[in-house]
Amino acid sequence: MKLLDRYVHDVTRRLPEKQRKDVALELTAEISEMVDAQAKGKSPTKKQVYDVLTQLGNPSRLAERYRDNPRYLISPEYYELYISLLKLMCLIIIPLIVFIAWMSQVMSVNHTVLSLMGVLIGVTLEATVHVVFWSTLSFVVVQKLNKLPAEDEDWTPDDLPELPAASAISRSDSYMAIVWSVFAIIATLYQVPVVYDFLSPDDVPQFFAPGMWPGWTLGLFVISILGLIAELIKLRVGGWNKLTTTAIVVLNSLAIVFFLSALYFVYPIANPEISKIIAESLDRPNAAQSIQIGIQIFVYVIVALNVWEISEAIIKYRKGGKR
Amino acid sequence: MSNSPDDFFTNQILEMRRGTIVLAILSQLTTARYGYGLLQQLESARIPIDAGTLYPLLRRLEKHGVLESEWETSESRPRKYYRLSSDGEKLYRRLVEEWGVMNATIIQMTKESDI
Repeated sequence: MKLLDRYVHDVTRRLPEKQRKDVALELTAEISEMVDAQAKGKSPTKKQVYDVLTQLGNPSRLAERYRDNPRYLISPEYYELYISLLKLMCLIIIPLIVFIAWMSQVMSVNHTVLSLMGVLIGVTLEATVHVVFWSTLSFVVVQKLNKLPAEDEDWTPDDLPELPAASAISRSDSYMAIVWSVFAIIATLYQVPVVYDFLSPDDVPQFFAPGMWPGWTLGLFVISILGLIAELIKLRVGGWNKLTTTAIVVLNSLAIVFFLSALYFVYPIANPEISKIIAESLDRPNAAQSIQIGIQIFVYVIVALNVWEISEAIIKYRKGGKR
Repeated sequence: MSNSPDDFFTNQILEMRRGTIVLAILSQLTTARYGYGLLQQLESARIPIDAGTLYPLLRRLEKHGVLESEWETSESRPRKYYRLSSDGEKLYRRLVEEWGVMNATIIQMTKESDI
């Protein structure tokens, strides 16, 4: 009955979340009933399922009839994609824009603490409004363009999409996390005196401040390795089950505790040499201090991401468990 | 949209069906029935209706408080049974009355015309 499940899923994915489960149950029951009537007591053939689904017609049309309030700005069909895109924008693009604006303010001749704060708040607000507005607008436009009813008539069950794996993970999120972990591991290894001496680079200083060595660097190393393992488990399992959820929650909780205590106990976190080089390359030797603060803010962003990952893991796990 | 009289006729019939389908459904739901059972019942009464129209319609009627539903899980396959709620019964009686008046008027008018 795989075809039937795919059909039901293709209908319900276009419905508001709270309606989905109930409609899926009822629709499955009713369609099975219709198929059984075709089979007349024998076990139904694939052809019979196919015919019943063809008779029911295009899932998007059926879903439209199920929706009691068809007026959405973003229809449920696109809603999840829309939210994940917004999420991505808010977590990556906005911090990036804010960071660039912050740096340019830092480099300006007469910046004060107040002007820096002003830039931070102003740019954050402005960037958020732009990102939300333009992505919403583009979704509305795409949605309107896709509403052309041309596909309606010649729909067959062969057009049904495959079922997604139960509470599937986001692969791109995982890959990004892995890249970050590897980067952190390399950075911590670079901090180890033996390694550093062996490489004996002339112009690339260590990434972390001397105050991070040895305890904090080692801590970061362990956290990064564990993070790498957790992500690999997640990719291997391919979904949110007890193991992956526990791994992600434990790892991120550890990371939050670690980063917050590092922020509290260690200053600066980045090697002053590094911030000095950046400041000099920008022709603003006095900005080194501000760059350190920018790096602190970056660490807070990482903590926010960890919190996000924990809630995401729990929500997705619970959603999947109910299925 | 084509303009031939035949198409117009087909369209009118569809419109009439659409106008009376709720009344037909409600009339069958004084006893509890599940979607496909109801569909067959209507079909044998020569009121064919699309499964894809009927199932969402049942849910909508339930949402408006006209129908109430119950899952029957004791059988080999779970079924969702719908029946008239007490509000639905009242509504049904009013609709039937209205239909009677309308029907009588139309019959009267068509009789009086000379065609």
